[in-house]
Amino acid sequence: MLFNAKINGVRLEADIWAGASLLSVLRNDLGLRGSKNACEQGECGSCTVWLDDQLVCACLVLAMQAHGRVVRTVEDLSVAGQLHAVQEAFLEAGAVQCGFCTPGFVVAVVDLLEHESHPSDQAIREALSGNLCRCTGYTKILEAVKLADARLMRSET
Amino acid sequence: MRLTCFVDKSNLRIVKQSRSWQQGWLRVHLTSAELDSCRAVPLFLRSDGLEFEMRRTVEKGRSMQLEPTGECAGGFEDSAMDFFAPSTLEEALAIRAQRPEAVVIAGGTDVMVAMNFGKLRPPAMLDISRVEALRQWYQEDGWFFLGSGVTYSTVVEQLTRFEPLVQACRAVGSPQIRNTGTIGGNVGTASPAGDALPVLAAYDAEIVLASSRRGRRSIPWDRFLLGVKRTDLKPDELIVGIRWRPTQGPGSFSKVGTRNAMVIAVASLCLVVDKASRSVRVSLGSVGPTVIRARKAETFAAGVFPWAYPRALLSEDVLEHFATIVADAVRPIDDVRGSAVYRRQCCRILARRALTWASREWHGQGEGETV
Repeated sequence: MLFNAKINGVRLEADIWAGASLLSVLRNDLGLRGSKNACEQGECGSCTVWLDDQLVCACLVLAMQAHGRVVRTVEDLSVAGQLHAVQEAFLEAGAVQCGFCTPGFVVAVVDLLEHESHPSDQAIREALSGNLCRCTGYTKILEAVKLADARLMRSET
Repeated sequence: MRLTCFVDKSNLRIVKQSRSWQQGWLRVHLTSAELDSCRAVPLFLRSDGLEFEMRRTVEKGRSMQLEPTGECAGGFEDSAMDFFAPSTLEEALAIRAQRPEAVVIAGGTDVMVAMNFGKLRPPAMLDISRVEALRQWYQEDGWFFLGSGVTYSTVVEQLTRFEPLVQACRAVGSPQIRNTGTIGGNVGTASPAGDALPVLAAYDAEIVLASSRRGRRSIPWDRFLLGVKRTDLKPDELIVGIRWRPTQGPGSFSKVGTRNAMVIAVASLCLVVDKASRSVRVSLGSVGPTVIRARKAETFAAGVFPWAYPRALLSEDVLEHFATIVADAVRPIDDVRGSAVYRRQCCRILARRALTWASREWHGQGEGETV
């Protein structure tokens, strides 16, 4: 079945099985392996992407539901080898350990900071409640969000 | 195509190399000894020469037909499947009538889990997420109509006048889940733990169904939700929406779980006070096969609620008695999320809190006026 969507600004096409998830098409058919495959049931958030600007778990979207729509993945965040401020903040704050959950977290944090600056601890926790990390204990992740928020604010002014 | 399979547990050996590849289903043979040693066995499947890797988890107990046949059918690639993505309701209903075996998908948060785990391999899928008519809401003849395709996020952001419903929708999953999951899906899945269901029950909501042949019908929630994941949906019908007569007065939804997010309710409760009918409605989720309305407790609460004396607070005895009769109304079971005893206790506490909040809010609203 022909799948066609605008992914990270580029129109991409693949011949897919009608039952495939968006995640499996991104990873296996389009070679975009940034979004991770972990739980396949929406529990962990490591496959978080944007579908028409909405944060979703790519594993819970039937790829054909995204046909003709706009998808943005973690691969879109760094430009010409330059990491996104949120990615930089994750590295600096030590919010990355094994790294498996990181792409999902980074996408969720970018989404949060695109909608809200200076989010409260509670707002950060709620925004990241769909992402699991088994290494960091989340403290460093919260610090990374605040660091990124401060940087983004500074770069805007 | 030849496939190799290995079990990702260093203390487990590869069980058998024998497997067959037929009709898009992979059969993996495991011995029961292997299964006894762990609750879930992650299987990694890899095809020779092809860059391909996929994980399936075989759960013990669930067993995915592992016992007694010793086979796990983890379908993980192409099985012929038709796909329909209509953009109008008429078209969707026509396809539904022609292909009743097609699995309907909207938000995908339930369907895709079953798909991903190889538990669902329908011959066809009907995607209704592009049907604009299902994403609307409006007021008509005293009814509020909420389209089945409205997502939890949309309810939280835009339907703020329905506070208990907003609270319930905000308690669903995570931001990612709420952005795609729909109210219609909650109703259609009919899980005893569906978060929006106690609220719809307390609203005395009706489920609006449509078929291409018989047109529309609207039935009360308790005639639609028939049991655990069992509904009165006919094979050619789609859930078009939910409608209810808006109430006026305080109300709340509360839920007990191990976390604030990503949690299936251990028990949940919705309490709605309606000024016009002077009624109090109490419904409970996750403590019976479907939502339960605590009718006796409702009558009691309506009798003691300070309708005319908003400054009066409910006494300890009244609150205690109310909590007790709410807890008497539920039929919880023991399961992995909690024991029946614990669940009943949760209901008692939730009931007491909800009535306290409602009377306090009434107190605030009604100050200085006699209703």
